[in-house]
Amino acid sequence: MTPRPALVSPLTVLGSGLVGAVLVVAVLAPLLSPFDPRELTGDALEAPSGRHLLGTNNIGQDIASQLIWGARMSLSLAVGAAGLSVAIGLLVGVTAGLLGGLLDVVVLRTIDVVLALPRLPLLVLVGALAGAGRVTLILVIALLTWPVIARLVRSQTLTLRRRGYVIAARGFGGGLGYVARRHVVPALAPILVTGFVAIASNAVLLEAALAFLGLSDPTAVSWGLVLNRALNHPGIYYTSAWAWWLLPAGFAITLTVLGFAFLGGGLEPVFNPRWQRGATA
Amino acid sequence: MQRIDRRQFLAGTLGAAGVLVLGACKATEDTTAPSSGGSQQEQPTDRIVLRLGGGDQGFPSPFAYTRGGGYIQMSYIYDTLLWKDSTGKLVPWLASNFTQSADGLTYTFQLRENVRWHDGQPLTPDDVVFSFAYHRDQKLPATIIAQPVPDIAEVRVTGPRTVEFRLSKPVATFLQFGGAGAIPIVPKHIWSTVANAATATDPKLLVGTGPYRLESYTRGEGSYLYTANDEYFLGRPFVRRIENRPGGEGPAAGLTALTAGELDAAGVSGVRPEVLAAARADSSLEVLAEEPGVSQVALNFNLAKGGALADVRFRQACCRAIDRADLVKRLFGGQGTPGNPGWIPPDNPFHAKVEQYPFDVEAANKMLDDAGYPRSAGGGTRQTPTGQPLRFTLLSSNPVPPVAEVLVNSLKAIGVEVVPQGVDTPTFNERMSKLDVELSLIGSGGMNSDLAPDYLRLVYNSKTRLAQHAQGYVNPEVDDLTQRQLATLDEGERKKIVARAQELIARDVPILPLFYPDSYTVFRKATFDQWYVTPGGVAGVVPTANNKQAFVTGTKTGTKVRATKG
Repeated sequence: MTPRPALVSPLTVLGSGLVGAVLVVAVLAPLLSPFDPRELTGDALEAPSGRHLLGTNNIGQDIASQLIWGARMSLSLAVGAAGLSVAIGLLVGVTAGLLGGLLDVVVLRTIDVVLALPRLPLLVLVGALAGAGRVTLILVIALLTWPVIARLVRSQTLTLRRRGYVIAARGFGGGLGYVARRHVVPALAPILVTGFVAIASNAVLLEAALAFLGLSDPTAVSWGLVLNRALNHPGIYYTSAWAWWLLPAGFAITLTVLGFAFLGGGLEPVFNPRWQRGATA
Repeated sequence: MQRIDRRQFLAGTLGAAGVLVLGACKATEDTTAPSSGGSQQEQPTDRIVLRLGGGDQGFPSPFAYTRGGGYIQMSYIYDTLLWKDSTGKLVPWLASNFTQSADGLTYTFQLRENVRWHDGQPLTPDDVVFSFAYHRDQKLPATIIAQPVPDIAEVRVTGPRTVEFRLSKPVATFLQFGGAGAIPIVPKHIWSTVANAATATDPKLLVGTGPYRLESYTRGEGSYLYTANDEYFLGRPFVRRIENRPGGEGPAAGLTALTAGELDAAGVSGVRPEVLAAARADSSLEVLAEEPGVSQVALNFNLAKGGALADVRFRQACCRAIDRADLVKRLFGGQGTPGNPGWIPPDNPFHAKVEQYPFDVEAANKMLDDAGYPRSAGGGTRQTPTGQPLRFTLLSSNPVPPVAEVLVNSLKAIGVEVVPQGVDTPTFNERMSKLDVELSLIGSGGMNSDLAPDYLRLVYNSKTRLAQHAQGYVNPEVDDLTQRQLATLDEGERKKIVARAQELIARDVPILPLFYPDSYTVFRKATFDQWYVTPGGVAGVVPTANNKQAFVTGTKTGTKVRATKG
């Protein structure tokens, strides 16, 4: 049998380091942030100084504070959306896998339809019509991404259903609920973890894209909104203001998404169901 | 046959594609010669071509253009009885002279001889009579900024070349934008068969007396091409071609295109000094500053909502909490002028000194305390006497302007919570017309034009429905004053009336003008250097450096066309 890939690999270490750093910043935002991100604490477009580490934006708000609080917005959205999506996907997938029959067929078709919908255009539509508040975004992203989880969960459930120990448990009188709780769901953990990470990464990008397009709540503080305001500023490239206003926000988004990607990439071979089956393919 | 491997094939294809692309680019650059029939022999030595930006300003007929920019384009094709040059005085244009009766009720215009329409037909006094009647009968939308004053009782032909206007009461603006100075004269033989002028967009209808003909117009993209009318009654126009190219996004897009060599002149407004620094340093370009008041952003209170918004003490306190001088410094690096609560900008002849609400947060807090809006100890949002929090939405059209965030902070200091809300333009217009708004940010233009004193009537009179009007504001004395100023021909008397009106609106502040961003026209001197800002605005309304008088004559004053070489 080929050895399983190690849990602690360069990719997972780097990934969890990046995501962990953003998580710490997000959680400790009130302590880390030098100023209230919406307060006008300096003159407009001040260069970075001891007081404002990344300078100020076009109306005099501290950019560093905006990025720190933006981490909270991005991560809360990512975790919320991914958590909800995984929960829905798990429920639907396990139910369809265990019960089978007509329900299974219906679920499969629903998954196909939702997967075919384009995410960003749909979010833009929702944002324009219903406003892009945090709760709305979490709901819509979750509703668009649960099929990915559900499909994987369902196929894995079908496989598990036929395992010897599951049939034995059912033979001894274990109901479907017992089997689900005791045997199926724990075996699904790897899929759920990698799925969670992928959706969280996607959610960060989607929120940034929406805010960048100007469809988010103007009273919120988010990385995408920093980008939006910087790029809407006439003559953003006429001075070096772009270097401390535009770049750091872009980096924040890139590094976070990269962190999630590394984490997911590092975990996937560890948790890939094929490894668990053994040498026989 | 030699075997071609994958790399060679890829390289070959990319190379071929690259050559094709370059070839196509070069080909489009070469096809600049006009291809329509009937174009004159162009003499190479005086081929003045102006490339301007601007975007889509509607179909340039007198009934379908969009606002100021569209009016200017339409003015290339159509003429008015009188027109302004750089002195700001009305110059005889289609009319060679005019007389005005002492009581201001009768005006007689004498038309020039030998003026022809683009299709060769002669201009007759009947065309003038028809033009005014047709404008009134068509019930044009507000985007058509030149509309005849409603007090024209009669227009009639009184001689082979004379037209007489009789007004039911004197109108101070008749010579400028309400009549002779702005209403385009259209051919009766073309428009008398058109039932709905606002939707008529057939290029064949564009027959005017003007110095230019529209050669092509691409809707949506906003590109226009005008060529000179060599039979123009003043002579062969100095500028031979005007190309309006589609613009980029943002206030500095035109400037970027100008410095890249794609345009010959560009307008820029609401930017910081560093944006203009490169243009100022470039000796081939000149920067022309326009009169302050070209545009304005104002904070509107909707009094119709009642509560604190209808309480003048609340509004006055808000005014004292907003530092308008700081707004200019913060947002434009000083390139602007703080707004005037009396609406008329400081440099205008009708400007009167009124209450300015100097910035004082302490005084503002005290005003709200005294007015009965308690605040919990330790700051936070105030409440009305009935316990409602002083929390309002600030509506603006997308993108939400930076000033909204500044206002949030300014009003937070006095315990008023403001929540900015950005919506798309059609939704914004709809909510404004339904008065479904609390606070809003509204932009206006042409504050310093001849229209200025009458603008007060359009904005503060309770019977008007202009988009920028003072919502829910009803003051009978202001209504009376604004009506009377329009009928007062004596300038001294009119100034007194307008001053009193400004005093009242500054005291009641249903609207707080926040700032007038500075506006500039930057142009390339070598191509054309006779740009000027028309005092009082082109046609008395449009604040711009784009005046056809300069294009036709190649000079800044008068109607004599400058001789060109060759």
